[in-house]
Amino acid sequence: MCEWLCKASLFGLFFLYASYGYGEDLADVQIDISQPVIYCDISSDRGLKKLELALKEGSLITYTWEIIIEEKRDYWLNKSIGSVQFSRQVVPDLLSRQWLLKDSNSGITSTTLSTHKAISFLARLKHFPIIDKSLLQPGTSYSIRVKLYVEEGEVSEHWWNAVTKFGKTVAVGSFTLP
Amino acid sequence: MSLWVRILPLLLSIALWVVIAWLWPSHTSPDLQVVAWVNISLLSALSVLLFLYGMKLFLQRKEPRPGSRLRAKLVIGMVGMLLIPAGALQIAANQMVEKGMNVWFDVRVDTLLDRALSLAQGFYSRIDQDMRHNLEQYMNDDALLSDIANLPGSYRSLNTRMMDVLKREGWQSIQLYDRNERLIAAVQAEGLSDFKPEAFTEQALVTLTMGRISSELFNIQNEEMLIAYAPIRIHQHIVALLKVKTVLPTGLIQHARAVESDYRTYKELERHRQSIRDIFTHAMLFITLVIVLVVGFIAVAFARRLTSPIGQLAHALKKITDGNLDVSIPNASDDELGDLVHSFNRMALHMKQNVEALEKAQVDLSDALTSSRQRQYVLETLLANLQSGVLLLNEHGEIRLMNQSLRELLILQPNEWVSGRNFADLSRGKLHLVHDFYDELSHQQNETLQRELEITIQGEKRHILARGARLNGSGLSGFSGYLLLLDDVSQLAEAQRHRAWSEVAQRLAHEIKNPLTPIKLAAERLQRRFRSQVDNHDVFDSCTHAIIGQVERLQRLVADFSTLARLPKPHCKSVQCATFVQELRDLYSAYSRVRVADMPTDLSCHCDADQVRQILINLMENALAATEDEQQHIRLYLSHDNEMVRFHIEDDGAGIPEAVREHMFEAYYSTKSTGSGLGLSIAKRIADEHAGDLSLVSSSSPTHFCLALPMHPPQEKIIKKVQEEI
Repeated sequence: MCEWLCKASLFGLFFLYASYGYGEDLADVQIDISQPVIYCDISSDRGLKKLELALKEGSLITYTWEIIIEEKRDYWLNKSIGSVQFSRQVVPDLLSRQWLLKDSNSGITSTTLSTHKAISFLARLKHFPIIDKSLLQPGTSYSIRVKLYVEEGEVSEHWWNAVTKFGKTVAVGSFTLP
Repeated sequence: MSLWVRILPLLLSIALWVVIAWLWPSHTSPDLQVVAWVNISLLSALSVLLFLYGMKLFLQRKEPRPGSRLRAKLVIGMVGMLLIPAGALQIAANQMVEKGMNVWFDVRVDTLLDRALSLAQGFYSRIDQDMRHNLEQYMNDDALLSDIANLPGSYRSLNTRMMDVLKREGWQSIQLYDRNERLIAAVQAEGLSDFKPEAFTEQALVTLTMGRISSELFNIQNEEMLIAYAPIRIHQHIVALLKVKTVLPTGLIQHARAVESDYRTYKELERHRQSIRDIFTHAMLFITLVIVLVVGFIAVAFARRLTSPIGQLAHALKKITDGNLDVSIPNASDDELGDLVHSFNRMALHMKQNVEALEKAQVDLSDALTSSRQRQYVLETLLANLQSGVLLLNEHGEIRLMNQSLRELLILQPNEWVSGRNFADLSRGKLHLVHDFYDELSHQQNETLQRELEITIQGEKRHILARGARLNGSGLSGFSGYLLLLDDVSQLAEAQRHRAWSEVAQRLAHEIKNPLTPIKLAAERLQRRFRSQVDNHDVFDSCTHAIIGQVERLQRLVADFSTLARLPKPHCKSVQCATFVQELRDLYSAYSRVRVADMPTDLSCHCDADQVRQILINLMENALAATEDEQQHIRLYLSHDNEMVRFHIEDDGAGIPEAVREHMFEAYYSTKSTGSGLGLSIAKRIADEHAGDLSLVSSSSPTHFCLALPMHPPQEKIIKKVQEEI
């Protein structure tokens, strides 16, 4: 029995490590550390055609971004410093051919008649503040891991939604404070 | 276990890894990730289990536990029986879903929904265009512009004009704002009691900035409202913003929104067509995997429960095969396997009892066999050392057993009279007397028979005492047949005859010897007293001398008789052989034809010197009698080996005829007219009593006698022989 448990544990650890280290560059991230607040520009151009098609066909699209700041550690798991999570949602109106843009971070709601504007609203973050520089240690290397949760349709409010929601690490960036 | 069975789990594991790679969730199908990852996890767990089990089987060198192979086959069979219909069901279901989707997402449905949506959009577009068109007219209405330009003096007129427009167009409200978002004028269909001015929306600001009519839709209190903005220009300058609200007709709006919702749902489904198929596939796979796992665990439990007694049976059988009969299987169930276990326990118990009985019988048999072998050994030893010849025949007259003494007695070759041969066929010819004896024994009524037979074997007559007994098959052996015992009683008969003759000779000699002396004395007295008185002295002398000579001859004859009858026991001691030789040389030195060879002085023999000297003189006298011519020589010489000393006496006489040779050592046989015929007989007897031998080596050219005497007394002889053997 103990032998089986050991084998299962090793197998699980292998998959955990493999999944943890697994990341694909699906988005571009630029980090600005010149100001008192760390900013980043993130743009995810992957799957934009499908996104445009979904929007044109009236699907409600929600992009939930999660930006995780971690302190790098050699030969061990990175130490989590903090994370920022917010959503952007586009609600299409096929009758009026306009899109309602909702930003959960700022609470601003707007409409647009441009598909590209709606797509940019979802897939591009410009000069987004991440963390105050005073919370970080100079000379230490940090990584920014960007996870993206894409949902189509109404966002489910069920309790299991948080459990079954699988995000994907779309970009990883790093910086070292001077 | 065959190689295929051993590597089957590894092959299945590899196949599962291929399936996992094929089912690995794509990035474009996030909705089915949960089910997909659950399936991947289940498949991975199954594959790892199979891989580990396969490696264990593949690397296994020792024999698996009893019952494990049957259990594995049962589990494989049960899961296989489930997998085949489950796989077929999944394939059929996938095909049905594929065909169903082709029906659901038919191009005609697509076109229909597109047209419906176009109609709804046209409805909205028409309302919007109408409102825009009307607004464009009003924003260029000079009267309205004049009222706006003359505010606040023209407020009443403006208000009246806006009310007229509201009623004419059927709008909900008309509001007029200056550039600073201050409300200038407002009219509302339900009155201004609950009117609240609203801040400019982004669209309103765009209208003010761009100077063109714009509109937007709002959903307020389950009512859809179209709000349009129109810039008011006076002298090419935008001085105000006209905001018009109209409530869209509820019934139409509901239909239009229903069309939009259906269109959106349909398009979403169509877009996720592949995902739906994948969800269905994964759901079915998940159900199948769960069922397989559940059935697998149930199968393992069932197979374990089913094969546990079989494994115990196999283990117990292996123990029995290894010789351990002290086995018992706990009986747990009441089914056929329980009966089998019960029967096995009874069989093992019976087998144990039988084996114990067999072992006891084996011990008894072994003891009996040992005893039998001992008896057989004793019997064989007895037979081998028995001087009597023993012959055992079965009821059919076939030889079953015979000893070596019989072969020596009858001088049989090793290939003669072997076991199994018929005695009647073998005992023809010279041994017909033995057959006659057996024939008489087998046909007589008595159980035993004894006869004395005289059989000539290789020219030598032998007196055989034959005794026979019939075996009637009684007792433990149950053997029926005949037992013949043959004893050579020739020497015994000879001894008996000799003893009888000796007694007769002694008595006769005694009776004859007594009157001979008076006769001889009387004859000598007659010769002395009456010789002078007789006329014819020659006749008288001849008669008296004849009487005296015959009496003397009779006295010698009687003395020989007496000697033969009362031959004393030899008093043996070690005597130098050279002594005998020297005495003979001295005794016969007068005869030039006697040649005595020189002898080694240290050679001795164990004998009675007087009796040996008598033999040698007898032989020398015989040789001298045979060689009257001086040209015929007599030679005396010795030879010896480790045990015997041999005196050789040769003469060049006429030799001994063949007829005489056979009887020359018999008593009273003589070819000389004056001989008693006892000399050689006595010599032979003396040699025999010295454990030596007197023999005729050659009967002529030369006539050669050899007297062999032992060098050592019998005990020393035995000790010396043992020492040599050691």
